[in-house]
Amino acid sequence: MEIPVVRNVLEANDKLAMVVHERVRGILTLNLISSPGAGKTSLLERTLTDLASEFRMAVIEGDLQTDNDARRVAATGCQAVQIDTDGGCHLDSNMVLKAMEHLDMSNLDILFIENVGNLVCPTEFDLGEDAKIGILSVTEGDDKPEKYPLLFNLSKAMILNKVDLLPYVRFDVERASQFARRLNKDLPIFQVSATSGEGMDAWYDWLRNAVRAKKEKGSL
Amino acid sequence: MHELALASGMLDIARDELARHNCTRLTMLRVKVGAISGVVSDALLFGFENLIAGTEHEGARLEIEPVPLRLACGSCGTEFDGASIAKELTPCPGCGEVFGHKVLQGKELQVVWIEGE
Repeated sequence: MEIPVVRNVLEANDKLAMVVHERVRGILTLNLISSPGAGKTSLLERTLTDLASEFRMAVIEGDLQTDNDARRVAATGCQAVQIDTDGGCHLDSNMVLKAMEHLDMSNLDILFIENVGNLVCPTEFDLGEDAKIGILSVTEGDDKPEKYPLLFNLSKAMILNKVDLLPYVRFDVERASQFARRLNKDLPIFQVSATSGEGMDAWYDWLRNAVRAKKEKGSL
Repeated sequence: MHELALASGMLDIARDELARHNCTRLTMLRVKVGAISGVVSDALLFGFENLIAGTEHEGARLEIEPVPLRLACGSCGTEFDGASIAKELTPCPGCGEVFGHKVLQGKELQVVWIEGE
């Protein structure tokens, strides 16, 4: 028997992403994507600590192996759930839904989802988030936005981390920013150092506005 | 990188459609794979064959239909094919613009035909 169909292979993920999106009504949900070592966890630790008195936040931590990152995040006093992908290269909506069962979602302002360190696969799986945040660090190549256009095209903000190391590395901030903006015209770019705290205020202001927009309009 | 998961998604769709049409065994599945879908066809085939080995679907054929990249210039609207290396940053033949093109096709990953018995 011949059966003509038109079904997207990722439809199962997309359906569950809509379920996630329903459950995070009023909660700003951000999908943090970077390569390994760009500083996602350090950035989260700093953000969770600095904004602890302002917002109620929780973190879903995706990791290939180990719960090291979840422990670091939990040490800030925030709720953290670990998803061990057991070698898998990305998070999908089903994993996020399961992780949410272990979180107290009442009264949350922000839910951070720290994706697996990888610039390719996580970009292709919608998790029901309000925004993807692309994170780069100055110890990587400044051509990352050229090499991984999809992430920078889809992100609603880009964070350039480790700027305290700029004097010691060859990283052209202009080049990276220009290219990212050509893929994404109005992309806000925050130059920060999660270690020194430099530049974090602008990122926090973006978060404040985004939390407000989500509560008032339901989206960013 | 995640072709095994994608192959598994394809088989979920196939099983669902087979059941709906009172079939039990898959004999052929055709999937459209866009030029910038990020899917490596060989890896998809490898994943598919491994998943059906030893099941009632063993021996089913996977046909991969490549979908070329088609772009519309963000500046002047000209429609053209993306080059295999520059992809979505192919210069527009109309005005030369490199950035900001709209992808008309090439992102697909879609099951379009199933045969079963």
